[in-house]
Amino acid sequence: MELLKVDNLSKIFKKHRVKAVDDVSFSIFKGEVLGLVGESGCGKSTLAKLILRLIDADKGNIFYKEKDLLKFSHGDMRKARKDLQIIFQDPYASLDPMIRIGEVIEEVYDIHKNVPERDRKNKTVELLETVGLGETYLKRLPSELSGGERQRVGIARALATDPEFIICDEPVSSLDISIQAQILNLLIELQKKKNLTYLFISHDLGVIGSICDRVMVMQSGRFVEFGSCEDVFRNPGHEYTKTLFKSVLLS
Amino acid sequence: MNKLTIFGICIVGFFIIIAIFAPIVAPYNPGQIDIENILIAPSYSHIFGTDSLGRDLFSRMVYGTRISLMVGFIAVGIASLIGIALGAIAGYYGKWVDTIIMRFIDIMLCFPTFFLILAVIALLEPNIINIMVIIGATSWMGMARLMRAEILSLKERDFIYAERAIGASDLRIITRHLIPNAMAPVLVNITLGIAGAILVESSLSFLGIGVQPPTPSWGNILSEGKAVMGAGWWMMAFPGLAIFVTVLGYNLLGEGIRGKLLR
Amino acid sequence: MLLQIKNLKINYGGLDVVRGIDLNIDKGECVGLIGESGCGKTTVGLSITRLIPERKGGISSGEILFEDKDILKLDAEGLRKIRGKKISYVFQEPSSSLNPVFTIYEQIKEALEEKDNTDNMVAEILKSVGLEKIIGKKNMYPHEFSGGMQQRAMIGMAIASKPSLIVLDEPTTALDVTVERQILDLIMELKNKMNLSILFISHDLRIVFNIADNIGIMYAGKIVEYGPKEKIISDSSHPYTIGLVDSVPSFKHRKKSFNAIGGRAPLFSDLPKGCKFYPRCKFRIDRCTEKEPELKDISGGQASMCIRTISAELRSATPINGIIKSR
Repeated sequence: MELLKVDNLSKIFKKHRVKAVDDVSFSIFKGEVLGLVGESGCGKSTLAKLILRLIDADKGNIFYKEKDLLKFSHGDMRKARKDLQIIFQDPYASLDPMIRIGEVIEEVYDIHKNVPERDRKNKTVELLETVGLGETYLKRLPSELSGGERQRVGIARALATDPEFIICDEPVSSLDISIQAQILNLLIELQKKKNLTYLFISHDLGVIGSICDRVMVMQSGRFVEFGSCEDVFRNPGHEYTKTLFKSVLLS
Repeated sequence: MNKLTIFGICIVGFFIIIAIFAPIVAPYNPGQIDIENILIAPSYSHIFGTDSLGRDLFSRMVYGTRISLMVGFIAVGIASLIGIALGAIAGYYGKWVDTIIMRFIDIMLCFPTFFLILAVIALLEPNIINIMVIIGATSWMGMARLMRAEILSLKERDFIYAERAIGASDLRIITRHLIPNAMAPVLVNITLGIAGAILVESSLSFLGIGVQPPTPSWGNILSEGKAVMGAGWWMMAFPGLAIFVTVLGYNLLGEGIRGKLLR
Repeated sequence: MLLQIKNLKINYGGLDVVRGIDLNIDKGECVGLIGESGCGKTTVGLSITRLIPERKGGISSGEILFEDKDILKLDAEGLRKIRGKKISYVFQEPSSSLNPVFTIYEQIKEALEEKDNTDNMVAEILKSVGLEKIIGKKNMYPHEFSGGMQQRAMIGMAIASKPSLIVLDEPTTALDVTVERQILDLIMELKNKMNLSILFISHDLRIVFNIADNIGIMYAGKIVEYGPKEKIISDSSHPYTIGLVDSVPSFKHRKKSFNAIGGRAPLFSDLPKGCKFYPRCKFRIDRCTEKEPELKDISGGQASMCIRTISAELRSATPINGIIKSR
C-alpha cells in the first residue's frame, strides 16, 4: 500500500539562489525502509523538513494516504503529525538543553492528549525501556547523557505518538562506530516489531546497504538514481553513484 | 564565584532585607515631626541626624528603601514583560511582524528617554504608580532587541524543529522552549535595568516630580538636602551614598551574572 | 625507530586518562590508533610534542623518544625545533585550524622554513596537495575554500617543513565521503613520495584500514590490541576489536542485527577492577576480574591484552544474555 507519494516537490532558497530541492517525485510503501543517500548540501535534509511541513515548499504535492498534506489546515496537520515523525542527526542539538528527559516525552502526551495524566509517567518509563534506557533517566538533563543515549531519547520521542512513518535524518552519523551499531540495531528491531515505514537518510553507503530495501541517490537537489538496494549496490548506473561507491573504504 | 559578585549580592540582599523589615529596623516613625529637634547632626539618638522638620533621617531612609526598590522592581518588571514579549514575537514570526515591531522600537529610541518621562509626568500627576509605569514603558527596547537576536538564532536549531514535528503550538514553543533558552543576556539587562530605574526615580524625585513628600524617597530627601546644604550635610550625604551603593550593587550583580551565563 | 613511546601515562583533571601506552613508529611506517571518543587517543597525539595545556593536566610518567632523544626532557628551544618542523599535525576541523584573517598563501609561506619561503616553493606545495588551480592567487582566504580544499591546505602546511612524522587526528571526519576518499588518497601518495611516518588517529576502522601498516586499538586509556592491519581486521584477537569489526555497517548485514557492543565506555573515575572491558565483553569469564591483563605478544607482530584465545567457533556463537559460554 502506498503510504506517501511526493510529486514534483521543489524548494528554492531565494537568499542563496539555490534550488535545494528540484522537482522531486517518489513513493514510499507501508512497511518498507527507503534509503536516501547523498552528500552534504545535496538537499536531503531540506527534503525531510519539506515532507513534514517544517519548511514551506514552493511547488508540488505530498500525498499521505492519498490526501495532500500541503492543503491540510493547522488542526489537521497537528493530527497528522501523530503518524509522521522524525529523528534528527545531531544528538547534541535535537533536545532542549533545559528540559529533563521525562518531560521531553511527557510533553508529547500533553500536546496530543493521547495518554491520560495519571498514566503518563508509566508510559514514559515503558517507552524509555523500549529504547534501552530506563526510569533513572527521567530526571536527567540532556547534558548528563552521552551522544548515543541522547539519540535514544530522540527515538523515544518520535515513537511517543505511535507513528506509522518515521524520517530518520542521518540518525547515526554523529556517533562513534561502535555506538552506531547499537542504534542501528534498535532502529531495525523497532521497524520489524511495529511494522514502521522509514525514510532513512544517510551519506554512508554501508549504513544504507545494511538497513534499506530500496534506495534513492540525490545530487544537487535531484534524484540521479533509484532502485532496489540489490540492484543499485551490485550495478550502479549513474556516474555519481559510481563515484560514491568508489569512495567506500571497507565492505 | 567572583569576590566582586559576592559583594554585589550582599549589597542587593542587604537593601532588600531592610526594605522588607523597615518597621522593625526604623527606630522612629518616619513622618514624626519634632520641631524641637530640627536639623540635628548625626548623634546617638538620631544616627543619621534629623531633617528640617525634625524627622529622623535614618527612619526616613529605611522607608525610602522600600520606595526605591519597589519602583526599581516593578518598573523593570513592566519593561521585561513588554520587551520579552515583543522581542520573542518579532524574532519568531519574522517578516512583516518583525518589521513593524522593529520600526516601533526605532521610533521609541528616537526619544531621549528621560525627557519623554518628564513630558508624560507633566501631563499626568506625579505619583508612584505613574512613575513605575512610565519608566517601564520607556525602557523595554533594549531587552526586546536582545530577546529577538537570541530567538533568531535559536529557532533554527534542531530541537525547535523537533518541537514543531511533534505538533507543539507556536505559543508552547515560544514560552516553554525559546524564551527560557534566550534569557541569559536578558537577565543581565534586567539586573542593570533595576539600577537604572532606581536612578531615574531618584532623579525625578529630586526634581520634585517623582515621589511627593511627605512620602520619603531617597531622591526627595536629597532634594530637601540641597535646600539646606550648608546647615545639614547629612541630608545630602546619606541619600547620595545610598543611591550610589545600591546602583553599584546591582551593577556588580549584573556583571557577575554576565560572566557566569555568557561564557 | 623514529618514534618510541614507552609506558606513557597522562593525567587530565586529576585522573589518569592514558594509563601506560607503548607505541613505536618506524621511518616510513603508518600506525593507526583507533578508539571511541574519550578513550585518550587525541591526548596521546597531542602529548608527542607536549601540546597538552599545562593547567589541564600533563604527562605523569613515561618516555617519548624521537630520533633517540627524549622529548619530555627537551627545553623550550629544543621543542621549538621539532614542533611544526620535524613533527607536524593535521587536525579534524580545517576551518578552525586555519587562521581566518590570513590568506592561504601567507599561511603556507609561514609554514615553510625561512630560507625556503619563496613563491616557487609555495607553488610546489600547492601542486603536491592538488591545489594547482590556486597557484598565483595570493588573495584567497580560508572561508573561500570548501572543506576539502581547506584540509588540503592544512596538509600542505604540514608537509612544508619536510617533517619526518605527521600526526593526523580525525582529518576526514568533517568531510563528505567523496572528498574523504580524495584526501586519504592524497595522504597515501605523500607518504610514499616523501617516505613519511604517520600516526593516524580515528574512531573509524574503515578509514585507517587502507592507509595504515599497523593498527593499535585503544580502550580505557590503554592499547588492548596491536598488529598488522590484515590481522587486526580479519583475525582480531581482543573481544573489543572483534566487536568493532562486527560493528561496521555494510551491505552484507542486510537487515540482520549487528553484533554491536552494548553499554558505554567506562568513566576514568570509575574503572572496574581487572580487565576494563569486562562489563561489555561477550566472552567474559570470572578470571577476567582478578587483575588487569598485560599486552602479550601472539604472533606475527600481533599483541593482545585478552587472557582468553577466542576461537572462530566461539566468535560465531550466539550470546545468551550477552555472554558466550565456552563448552
